[in-house]
Amino acid sequence: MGYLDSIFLGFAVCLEPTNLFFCFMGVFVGTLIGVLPGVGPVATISMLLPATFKMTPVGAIIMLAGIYYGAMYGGSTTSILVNIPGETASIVTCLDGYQMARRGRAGPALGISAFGSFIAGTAAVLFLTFLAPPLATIAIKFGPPEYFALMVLGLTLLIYLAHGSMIKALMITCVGLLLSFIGLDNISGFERFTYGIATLEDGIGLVPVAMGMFGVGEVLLNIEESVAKRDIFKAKLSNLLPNRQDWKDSAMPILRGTLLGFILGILPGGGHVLASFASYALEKRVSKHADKFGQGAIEGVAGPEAANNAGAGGQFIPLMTLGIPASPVMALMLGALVIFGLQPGPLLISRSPDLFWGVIVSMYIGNIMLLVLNLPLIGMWVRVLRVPYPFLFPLILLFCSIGAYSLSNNKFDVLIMAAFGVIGYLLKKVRFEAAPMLLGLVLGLMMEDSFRQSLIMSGGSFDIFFNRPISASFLLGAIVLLAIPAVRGGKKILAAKLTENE
Amino acid sequence: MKRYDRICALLFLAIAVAAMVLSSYMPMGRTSKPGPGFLPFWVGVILALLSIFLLVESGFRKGPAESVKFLAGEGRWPNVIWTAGSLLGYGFLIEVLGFVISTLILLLFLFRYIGNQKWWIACTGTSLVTLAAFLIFKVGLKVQLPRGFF
Repeated sequence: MGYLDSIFLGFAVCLEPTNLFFCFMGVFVGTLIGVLPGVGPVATISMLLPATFKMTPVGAIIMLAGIYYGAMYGGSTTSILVNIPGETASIVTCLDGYQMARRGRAGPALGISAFGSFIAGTAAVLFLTFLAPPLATIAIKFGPPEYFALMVLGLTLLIYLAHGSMIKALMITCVGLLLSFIGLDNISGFERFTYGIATLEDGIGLVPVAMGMFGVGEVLLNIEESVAKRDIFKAKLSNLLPNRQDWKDSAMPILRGTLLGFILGILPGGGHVLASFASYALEKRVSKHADKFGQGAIEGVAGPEAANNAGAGGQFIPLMTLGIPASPVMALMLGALVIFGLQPGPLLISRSPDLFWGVIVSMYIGNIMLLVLNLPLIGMWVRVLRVPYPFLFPLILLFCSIGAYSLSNNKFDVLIMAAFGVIGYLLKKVRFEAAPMLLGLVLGLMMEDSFRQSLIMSGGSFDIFFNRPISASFLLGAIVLLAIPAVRGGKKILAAKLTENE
Repeated sequence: MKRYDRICALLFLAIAVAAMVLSSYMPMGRTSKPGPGFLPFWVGVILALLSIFLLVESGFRKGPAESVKFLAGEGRWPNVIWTAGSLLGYGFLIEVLGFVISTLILLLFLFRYIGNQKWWIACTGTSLVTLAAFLIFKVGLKVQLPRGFF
């Protein structure tokens, strides 16, 4: 099937009225939760996952994807107007976006971030269209050792990029892996760590854990910190369109941000958060007037905004071609696909072309909807921003609870969610990140299966991971990533000791 | 931070040791055919080593002590416990009292006592949100919600 046929198929699927409606619902909800601080795409997708069980798989994935990239748009609005990032990916946008707003240029800042997001989002979908099928044909040749090595590399990358201590990130990943082992063993059917509790046989679900750590945990933190008074910017938002000079300044940052974001998005463990930070750093470095960054440079808004949207698109590649989720959001997508009986992986594109191309085309259409939602209707979102937190958090908690309960009509999931809410709160206090744990939980069983299959294949020799070029290079990459900070840290300690002795 | 890192290291060490001990009761298998206990055991070993490293490293660490405040924030901290507890309670009660009644109780509690709204606002909010949630999830999305003892 040629690209043209595929894309026509995609349009045919996506233009069905129900799917159009789901796409709109997705980007609408996405923008909404992007604007609301304290509710992220992970918590939202977990909450709405059970609600999609009655939909068609295509409709469900279209909607969930829409929530994800919609949240990338909405997140920037709060960063610019209130200096509160709606999403982690838009933390960087606060730096220059809010400064622009304070200088009376809120309009162009919002405008360029919407246009930048649109351009990058569309470009990412184009890349996805042309890159995913060839990558899937390569991925078909992957055996268990390659899968194992790739997952190790993905986890290592996530650990490497963790803010703060790498040791802590490694530790929390191990805990995630251990959690994933709870339940029936895939290969032998042996019950592990269940102690006769029937609900534990299926293991600890990703969704209640994700909702607990990213939804409930966040609410607990916000309740404790005073519900900060938000200083909402009351400037008139009349001139949303960036002027010619703005465009000239932003064109290259958008282009660079798009490429950077997409590449980082493809890497397992990379993703949109990293992309926005990397793009900001890059723009600051190449800029001729780096001193203006932090004081309302439009490049510092355009680049990162483009990068995080391109990154969001890029993340679909490892999911759709390898079946390996690169981030918690993609892990939830994987969960959704599996619930519908679709196995993400190299065969997904050929087995369910309607799903793959339908979702891709829905992203083109979704990006256009988002532009309309975010520019002319910006006033509405600003009003949403004014909803006070004391009204908001009971809703978040209730929707999380309903979502958890309706996963399998089991109160146990609500309890797991509440428990992990507390765990997430505590971990955040002692600076442990939640994302590596969540990914460990998702990848644990997959890793174990491929690890054990590899050893069975090789008759017990670990050489199998290093004899095969692809798996060897993945593992080498992982080792290098782990070694860099160790060497650096060792040097630092040595230097400290030396100065101490002098 | 240093002190908390040590406490964390010890807690994680305990988890690791527990994982090692518990998985040693499971069939380990051979390397040519690893059993269900194989990976849990070795992940436990790795976690134990990392925890010991953190324990030792935090002992050597110098620098200004960074304080972590649990349950901080001018008398708001009991709210964290109450909120978490109310969710647990909701989980336990939802199948006994049914969706509608337990949701009314949960929301009223959250609006009035955690969110500090006036009574009439809390009551209005509670009833509107419960109604909306019922319409969206039960009627609209046809999610099965427990009816309780009626």
